[in-house]
Amino acid sequence: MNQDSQQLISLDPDLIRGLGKFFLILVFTYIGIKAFPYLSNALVLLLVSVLLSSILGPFVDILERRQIPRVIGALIVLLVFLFLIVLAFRFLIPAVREQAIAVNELIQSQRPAELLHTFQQWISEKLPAAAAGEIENIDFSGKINAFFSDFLSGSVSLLFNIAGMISSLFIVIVITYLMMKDSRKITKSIISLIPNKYFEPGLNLADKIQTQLSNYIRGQFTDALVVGMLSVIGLWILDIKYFVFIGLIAGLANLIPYIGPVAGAIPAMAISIINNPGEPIMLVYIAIMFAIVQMIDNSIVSPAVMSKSVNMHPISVIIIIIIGGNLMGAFGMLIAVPAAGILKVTFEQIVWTVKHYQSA
Amino acid sequence: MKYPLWENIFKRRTEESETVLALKGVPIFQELVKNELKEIEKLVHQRTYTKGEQIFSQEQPGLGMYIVLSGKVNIVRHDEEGNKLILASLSQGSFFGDMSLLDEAPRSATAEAAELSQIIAFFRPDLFDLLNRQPKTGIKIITGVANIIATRLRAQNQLSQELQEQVESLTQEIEQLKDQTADSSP
Repeated sequence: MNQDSQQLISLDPDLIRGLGKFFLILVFTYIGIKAFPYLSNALVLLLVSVLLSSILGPFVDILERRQIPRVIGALIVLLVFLFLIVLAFRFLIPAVREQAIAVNELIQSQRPAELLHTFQQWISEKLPAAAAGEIENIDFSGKINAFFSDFLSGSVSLLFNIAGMISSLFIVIVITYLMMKDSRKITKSIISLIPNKYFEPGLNLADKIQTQLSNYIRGQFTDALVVGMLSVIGLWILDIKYFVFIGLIAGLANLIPYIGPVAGAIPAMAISIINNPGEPIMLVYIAIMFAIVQMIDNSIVSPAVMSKSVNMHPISVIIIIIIGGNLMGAFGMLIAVPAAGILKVTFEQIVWTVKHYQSA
Repeated sequence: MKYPLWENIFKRRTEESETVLALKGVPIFQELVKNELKEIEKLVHQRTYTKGEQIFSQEQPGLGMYIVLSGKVNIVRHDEEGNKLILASLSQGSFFGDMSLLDEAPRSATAEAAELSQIIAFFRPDLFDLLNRQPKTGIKIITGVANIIATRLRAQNQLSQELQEQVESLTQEIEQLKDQTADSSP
């Protein structure tokens, strides 16, 4: 009896440690799940502030290089940013809103439904096999309407839940300012919590993740902005209606590799068909215009701003978009690839650190 | 009569923190002025290591340099058989790991606290960030590192030259001994 009990006692410390860890994980998971509804708003505000500070941070660095202290530099950058936001609200947002409403009305009108009906009939005639699959019964128009309203309501509700409220905006501005001003102090105080054993690996990991993520976020933002602006200009030259709204969609769609550039051209083509059904040549012009925008993006913009480490295989992109769509609808499809990019960068850096510090 | 308010306003702020004083003593930071040293003070990390605790390990990717604020640090190397060889014992004011300010090459030795020690750590990402934000200060530090490396390289060259000369004279002596042996043999 004694030998057995001694063996059990000798196993105890490991067993207790293991059980302790398991219990702690359970407790923290439970607390996390329970606290999430209360913390989610704060987390979203924090996330928006992190994104903003990583986009605006380099401008504060530039001012600091010109001998302007960070306290003032961060304030100047934030004020300029707010001024641009006010300008956007004054001039750009009403135009986009008007065009978005007009596009929505156009989608709700009978014309697309008529066009789709003609398209369905054409398929039934040309492809009787497909028609046997009851293609005529598929409610294309309803599906497109649902997609657009889902996308618009998803993005609009998110925008208005986060930044629409003045209090949230104020909090975001304050956090962003403090992050830009005291980013090093904040990082330092977080790093001071790392135990000595993991000090260098932890710091190395934190630095690599921070650098890669900042580059990725900044790259995506710049790329989407440039593609959006080029598309707006191109569509304006081609005299396509609602060019601002469609151009912005093209810019946002560009966040999705491989599929985005094509998806960005579709709304422009659809609106062109609806408005000018007798001018199919316009579709060719639109396609050429988007091809030129993509050429400029791929040869000039992307190589300058995008991080190479976030390259994804087309299959991965498709799977990620499907998952994003299942989780958050059309809006989820849009943000799935950037979110996966952030996770990929973080995971790669963790693997690098574990590999290099464990082998030593 | 004393006026504490005016005395406080016009008092010269000459006291320097322990960290700034330690930084001043390191050749890498010798060219920096007071404000620049205070900027570096914001970037460095101060940590306490107990006896036997490792600061970094041999073969780990290098991340930056350390300055001994108090206590004692041993630089040790482990050979293939696992034997431990103490290369140096560093006390207050000494610095180590400075090559890692330039690249991520693996550490050539392990650093461990020989007693309770306070250490200041200055890392490459912070140096690169400083180079981006305050290039003048950053260049002064890089020049400091380059000077140290140049001094070490010169010393290595001198040593290598001396060793070469010793080898040559020993070879000559051997040759002479060989000749003498050949002459003396019947």
